[in-house]
Amino acid sequence: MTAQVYFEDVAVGMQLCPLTKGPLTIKDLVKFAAATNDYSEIHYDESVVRERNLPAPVIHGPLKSAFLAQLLTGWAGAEGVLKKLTCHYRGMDVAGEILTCHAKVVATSIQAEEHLVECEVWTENSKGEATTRGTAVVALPSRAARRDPKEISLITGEMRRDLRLGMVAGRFEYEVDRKWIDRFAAAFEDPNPLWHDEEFARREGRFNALIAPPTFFAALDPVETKELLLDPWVETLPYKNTGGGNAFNEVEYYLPIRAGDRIGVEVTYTDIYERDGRSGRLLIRVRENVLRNQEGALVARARSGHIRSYDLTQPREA
Amino acid sequence: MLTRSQCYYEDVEVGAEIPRLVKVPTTIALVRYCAAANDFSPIHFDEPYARTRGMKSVIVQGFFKAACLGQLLTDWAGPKGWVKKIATKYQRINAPYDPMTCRGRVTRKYMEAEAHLVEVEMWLENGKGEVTTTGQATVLLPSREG
Repeated sequence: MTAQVYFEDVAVGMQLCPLTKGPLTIKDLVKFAAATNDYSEIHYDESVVRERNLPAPVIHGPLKSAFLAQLLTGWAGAEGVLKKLTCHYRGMDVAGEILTCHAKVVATSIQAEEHLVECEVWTENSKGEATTRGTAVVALPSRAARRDPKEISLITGEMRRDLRLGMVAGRFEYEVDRKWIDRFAAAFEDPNPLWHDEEFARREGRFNALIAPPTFFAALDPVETKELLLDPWVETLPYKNTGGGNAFNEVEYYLPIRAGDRIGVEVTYTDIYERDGRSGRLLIRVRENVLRNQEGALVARARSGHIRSYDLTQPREA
Repeated sequence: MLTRSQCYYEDVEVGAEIPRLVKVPTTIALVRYCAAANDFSPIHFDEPYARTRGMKSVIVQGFFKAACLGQLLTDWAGPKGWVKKIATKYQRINAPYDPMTCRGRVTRKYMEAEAHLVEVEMWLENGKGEVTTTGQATVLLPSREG
């Protein structure tokens, strides 16, 4: 028994390993006549064959179909199912012939949770003529859908190692100037002069300086900006991605972020965990950023959770 | 001379809602936010990509919604107030041009190390009135007694 082929192993354009049958004898044809109760004499009776000016007994069309089915079911394995096979008999083949059965994948799809492979199939005789042509649909098992999703864990030791859980994973530095703060607040149309007007901020503000709005720490996050990318595997897990994004963000400030500050940010991943949610299995990474200013004073601690969700019953899309 | 109203600790009542803030996120605003935050995830500006991810349109950044909730607080707290803590959770997506109503309610007021602090619970509603984002904040306010 050969190894099971899975939907994920199949690519459009690939050809199955051909199956060769024959040379086909009259005995083969008689056996097929008996099996199908088709006793038409052209398949075995030399006198009728001569009378009709045929070179030799004719191979049953349905026998050629059966050979193509053998090719497909042999390939699909114990867990695969031949769902559909349509054949057109375009040329006659006779006893003594060697037939080679071919199949080529022309499409793959997932329909009603079935992983389907559509093939173009044909038989070729010893002259290289395609005497039978048809199409077939085979349902294959999927690696992704194979196991009970509840038993699947997405998290591996390598992922934990990549995130350097509990250790500082990276240090980054950002020069925060007046223009950046202005541009940041303008993006969400917040006209508060504390972020835009230095003179006002000096005169009226608690800190007598132009400061950044409370969520400015988001702009100083090397994970959001992809300067620090320790989880590239979220893109290549073998399951269908159904979403992703921030799950939560928290910040506590000890000092404001002021225009002119040079803010150093240290990122530490603290956790990776998974749970089931509305959009499938959720993979959540939690990180803590510590922000310090140019004097080394603690400015803020931020905590963020990022989610990526997967449908464990569907394979990853190309 | 430019002025802004100031909120004082003594004026705050536990249980009171703070003035609502309605924001309509345009696609331009989302792109400007991408640029300002250096976060160029295509889900926020590339509509064909967003459709391949099963969305009807691009989606508003979680942090954009957090920024609007931040504005809710800073508009209310005034120039002498300071948002010490803000935490936000994103339960549902928001689409551009769908108005987002930012709301908040005072849940606690207390003094700690001579600071006058107020806790606020916040939430953001989409145009259908569904809560898509929730949060909590701690805001430091000035006292009339100085």
